[in-house]
Amino acid sequence: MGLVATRALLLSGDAVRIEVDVAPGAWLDVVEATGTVAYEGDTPSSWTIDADVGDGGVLTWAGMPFVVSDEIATHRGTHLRLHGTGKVLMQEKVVLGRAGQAGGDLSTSLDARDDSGPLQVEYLDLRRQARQMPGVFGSLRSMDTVTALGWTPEPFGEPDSGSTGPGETYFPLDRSGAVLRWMGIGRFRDELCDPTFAAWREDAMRDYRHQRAAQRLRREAEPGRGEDGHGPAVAITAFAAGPDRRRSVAPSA
Amino acid sequence: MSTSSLLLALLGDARLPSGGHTQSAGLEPALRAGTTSAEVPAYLRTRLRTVTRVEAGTAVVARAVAAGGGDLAEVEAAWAARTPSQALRGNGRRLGRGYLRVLQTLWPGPLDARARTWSRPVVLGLLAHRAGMEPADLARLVGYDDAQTVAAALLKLDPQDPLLITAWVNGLLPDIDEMADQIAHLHAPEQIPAHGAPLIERWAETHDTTTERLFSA
Repeated sequence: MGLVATRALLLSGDAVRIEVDVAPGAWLDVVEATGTVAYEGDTPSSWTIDADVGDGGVLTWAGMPFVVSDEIATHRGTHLRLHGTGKVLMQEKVVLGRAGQAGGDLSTSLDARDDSGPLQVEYLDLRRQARQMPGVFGSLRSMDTVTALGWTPEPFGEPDSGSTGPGETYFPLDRSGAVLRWMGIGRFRDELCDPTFAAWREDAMRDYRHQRAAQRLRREAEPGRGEDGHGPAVAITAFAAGPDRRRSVAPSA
Repeated sequence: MSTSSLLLALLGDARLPSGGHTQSAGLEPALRAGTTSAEVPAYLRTRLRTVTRVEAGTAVVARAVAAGGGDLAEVEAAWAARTPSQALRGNGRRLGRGYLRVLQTLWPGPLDARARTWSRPVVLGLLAHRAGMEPADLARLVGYDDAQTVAAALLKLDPQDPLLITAWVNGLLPDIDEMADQIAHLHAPEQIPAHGAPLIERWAETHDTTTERLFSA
């Protein structure tokens, strides 16, 4: 499913909210057609993703760069709920500033949980003052994060551990999940995040196909059972509310 | 009820045999990554706003959950979900075992079988409950301990006037008080702050694979 902005996004005062519901056993790839610029203005803007993935389902989300202009305060929020053996793979790219800019105030939050508790919870305060502090973001300007939840994929390639700021780090989470995060000074020069996303997606899909094949075999063994699908396998709803106008983010299948 | 000030002194003392001497609170890899000594006061503030806030929040919530007879494993899970670095989780859990010995020797009591796998802030919360420590004082203890850990490590990594560094910690005390007041009321695992510090987390992972180092984290 492609996510296409049919009007200019993300203007000052815009609050975009995307709700995704992946039914048990379903699989959804979300692809953003273009990057998103958070334009300058007095009123903060926000971009929120709220996703539910059912047992045996897979949601992958290939995010394009989210560029934070000067003179805007913007927030990216992600809420993920996994059920049973559901899996999520997301890539999030953020850039502070358009060409020649230092970038405005960004904060991000992630709250991911499954049936037994929290998987990853993170709040990043990347407002101008906070991010320059030693140990937060220093003088870096871009970040590419690939997050797998519901299983712990191995690192793809060899993350450049390095001792300074720029480079990528592989973080296996405490429960099922792993994160590859690259941070850098300018444009996306990381060579590991995109191939990692592709490799981990392949990983998730291999498991998914195995599960579906096993289900099919079980159904054939018990012919009375029929398809277990009821209702749509995937529902995606996008809202964009501006202060004085209405527009839409159109999911195009 | 108020916390005994001598109890706070005892627990905040670097001579407490809980394993604190192995720690630099991330300073060793921070210096290796190019942070200068002059930036250490700012580094202390970064920690207070991010990883130390998570640590203190976890301890305060663990204390409340222990007081209410709840399951501390849920607090441990909330802390772990807020600690993406495997190196920092491992380090926190090693320190937890050190504090468990302090707890069971000074304030003995029945213990959950999983307690040996809990991180320092969770064990510290249980300790605070048994020792009768107020939540704000517990948060102060976590903030103060972190600042002094950085200060003591700096003296070994980049020796300089110890009084100058003590003055930095003294200058940070109002910030520690403010942080403590902001989180003292927390009581449920989902309320624990989740402020990350991307570079501190990256440096922690790099440090964990470094063979030539003075401190374990």
